[in-house]
Amino acid sequence: MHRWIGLCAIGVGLFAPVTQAQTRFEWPADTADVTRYTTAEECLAASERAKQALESWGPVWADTLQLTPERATAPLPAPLVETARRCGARFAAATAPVIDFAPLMELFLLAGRDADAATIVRRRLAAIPATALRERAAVLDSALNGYVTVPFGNPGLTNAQPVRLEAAESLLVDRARVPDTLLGVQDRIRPVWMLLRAARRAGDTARAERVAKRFLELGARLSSAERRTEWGEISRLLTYFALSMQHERALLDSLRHGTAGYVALRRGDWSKATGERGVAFRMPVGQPAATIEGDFWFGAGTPDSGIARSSKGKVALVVFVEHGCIDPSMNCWPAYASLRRLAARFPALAITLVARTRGYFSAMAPPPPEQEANALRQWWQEFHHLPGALAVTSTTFFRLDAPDRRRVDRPTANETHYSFGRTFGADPGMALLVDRNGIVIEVGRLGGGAYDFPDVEEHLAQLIDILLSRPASVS
Amino acid sequence: MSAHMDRLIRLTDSQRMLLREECERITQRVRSFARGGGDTDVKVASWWHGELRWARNRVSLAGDRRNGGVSVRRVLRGAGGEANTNQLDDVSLEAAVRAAERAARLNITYPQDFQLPAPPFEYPRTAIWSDATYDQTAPARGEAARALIDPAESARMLSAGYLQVSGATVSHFPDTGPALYAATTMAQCSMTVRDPRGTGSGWAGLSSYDLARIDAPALARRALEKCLASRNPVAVEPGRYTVILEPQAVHDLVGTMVTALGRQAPELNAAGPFFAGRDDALDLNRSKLGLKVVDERISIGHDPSDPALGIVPFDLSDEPYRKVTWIDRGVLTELSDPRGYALHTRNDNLGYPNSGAYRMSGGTASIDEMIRSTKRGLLVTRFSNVGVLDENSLLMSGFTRDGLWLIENGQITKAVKNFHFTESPLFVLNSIEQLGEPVPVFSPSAPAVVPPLKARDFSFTSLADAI
Repeated sequence: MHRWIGLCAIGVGLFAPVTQAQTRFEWPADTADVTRYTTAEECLAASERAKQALESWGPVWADTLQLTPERATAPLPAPLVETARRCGARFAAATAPVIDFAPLMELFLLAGRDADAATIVRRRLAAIPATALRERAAVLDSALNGYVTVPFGNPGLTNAQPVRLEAAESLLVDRARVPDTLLGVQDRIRPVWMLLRAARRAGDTARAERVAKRFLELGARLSSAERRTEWGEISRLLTYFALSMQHERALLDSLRHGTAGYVALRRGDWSKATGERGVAFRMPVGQPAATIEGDFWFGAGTPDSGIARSSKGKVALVVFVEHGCIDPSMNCWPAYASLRRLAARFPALAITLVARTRGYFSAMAPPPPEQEANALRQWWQEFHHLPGALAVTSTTFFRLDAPDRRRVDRPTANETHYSFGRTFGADPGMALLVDRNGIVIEVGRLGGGAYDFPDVEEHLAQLIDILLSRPASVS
Repeated sequence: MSAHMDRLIRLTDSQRMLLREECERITQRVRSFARGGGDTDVKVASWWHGELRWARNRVSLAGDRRNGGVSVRRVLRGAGGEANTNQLDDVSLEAAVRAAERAARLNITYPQDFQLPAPPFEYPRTAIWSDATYDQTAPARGEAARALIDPAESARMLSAGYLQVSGATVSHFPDTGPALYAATTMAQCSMTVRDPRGTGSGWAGLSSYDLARIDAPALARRALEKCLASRNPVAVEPGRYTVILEPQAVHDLVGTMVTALGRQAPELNAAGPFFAGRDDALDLNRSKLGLKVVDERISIGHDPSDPALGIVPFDLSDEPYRKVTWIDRGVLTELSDPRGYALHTRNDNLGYPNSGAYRMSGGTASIDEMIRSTKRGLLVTRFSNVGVLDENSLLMSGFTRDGLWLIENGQITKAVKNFHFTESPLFVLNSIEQLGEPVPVFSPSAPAVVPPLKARDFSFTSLADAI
């Protein structure tokens, strides 16, 4: 888009010899020369460049992003570790400037020098005055983050470093000594949730249950005023997740024996976490799933597959997909990969994608609904190979008066039916698992973020497995 | 001599910018180097600057610079890759094509027809080319500089300034859609005259695509007169003053406001000077479209076919600039947006890109009349170092420069020391008393036609040592 700028910005060099032109576009060497780097930040940058060089040559979005426990403990790429090791060799944990604690800790962990990482954390904590409790909490949080977070960002697209769950959990003891009153809700719940999430993703269920208990204690200590804040709301939802994780085996067992018992347990968790009861109950688990409506149907078996016309008789997954995800800058692709893996793993699962028209598609001139629906089909079914049926509703809308003229879409019938109150609006990416009797068993967001249920895919897979293997007589 | 060297010599000696035929030829050559099918998109540009800079009445820089560039985008099986070069020989062009193909192979593959082409646009005819500008030679620039410097030197003042003539071409010949080629010129002249003792300073400047529209001797006279009249300023108290802003001073404030005329800040980010508030019922952010935002005597718009406001008729995305009225008699009637945003929010096939060029409506009052009707106020030549303090109110700060005078009882009584100011163009345009005739101002990046105006309660916050 900004190619004119690029053209105009080309530096003087018009008259360079022809021979230079032949080498100008060669790829630069990707071997890091670390001899000139003197700071921890420079070493980290060199390590990141090594990683980027690897990624740029690798497959970009193949369905190799297995959401398995092994992924979280897979080793980092050797060139990255080697760069961090060679560059970091000049820094001794016992003598390096403690002010560089954060980059040094990250560098040591990248290089596999866990003992040195612990040393620099200890030295940093020792440098904090006894009364500076907020500072202590901040350093502990930084250290915990370093132990459980994937370096350099996106966990979905790269190998993860092995998370150091034990080291991270040991920090929580010290962290608990900081009084609640000194910290906001977010600062209190975030580190514990991050550790819970990491333990869960690593498949360390015993630790996850332990940390979940700690998280629940934290949630119980929130004041009523704190519960009404934005982060109070989030903490209630996370509390519900933590409750589910704490007795997940019991939940799965109950589902094996019937939906009613399972629903009662889940609703109990929801009530405990949120205090909601009766008509205000916003948790969709246990509610009947409405029949999906669509003006345009695409995909095998439509419109009679899944709960397209009838919610009876099949285990179904209803997934709301949205226009935002035809913009490549919106990274919905990990969610799509999840969906493909679930479909491959459970061929009997009836998947229905639910979409709506918006009056545009990519750079196409405003298309009529049938053309837009067909473009959506092409995008999701042909390009992304998403499984199942695709139902597209021709959206009704009105326009704001001139000069604004914006289009305001009215909710579709599907969105209305699947809203279940404020918390679980029919957002893009929302997936609902429905049993053979048309009862919602679980709701989650595929490819979810930091504050969604961790590893939704694996969680759904466990539930789907049970529902499909459950005798038809069980309901 | 190789064909490559021949090309270089032609570019350096006899040709400053690429003609349409040459851009087409380069495009075809680039396409011929493509291997492995797919699509090849080529953009070719060139530019030339002839410039002269002087200080303390002596020329300090005189030169000609030129460059060109080719942007190559290859799309292979739905994956795009891009490379740029400014060398136009076959070896370099082929190397760029290979680099674009390598980049494409590493990129994400989209369906071939995912990026569907935009519909054909109609492009306005604009006045952007002047032979007078393009033909001004380096010796002629030297002569012009002499004529600009002489009056100041004769008056034993020091002058500094910049004279530039330039040209540029941009071209895009896509497989589908209209062929785009534009050649444009720009001339700009600005100068400051200062008292050698450092007690006074005067400035004048103008820019236009057409050098013939710039009266350089008049600029020299104006800068000198302002310098002489601004010597030995006295300090007056900061505070709120009635001001008479010369057109350049108005542009220094309003130009920033014009660039802020966009839909996305208020509608997406609930921010910017044109955000009205949150509409909870519809769950969207409202802009001030349809609301009165400035004095009803003010209209601001841009007509690309206006001879005083000519610009290259398309933007970076090949989208055409259209005739638009942003503010009509004080009411905000349009905000700019790129086509993508227009398509997504309104299903409009065409947005309103904002070039920054504008014409602001005026009145009939002369500056002399404004002075005569002022009991106590300040006459401002221009503002300098203007920065936005608060993007929501467009509150700006900066200081006056190159001529500031006190008006008392309908007459200019004395030169005064410069001020820091803290003010918003929105406040100024809501406090107007009189408006003058709009005239072109110095604005090389995007032409502007702006009136002088008289406004109440302009906020000067402290004295500035700047001259």
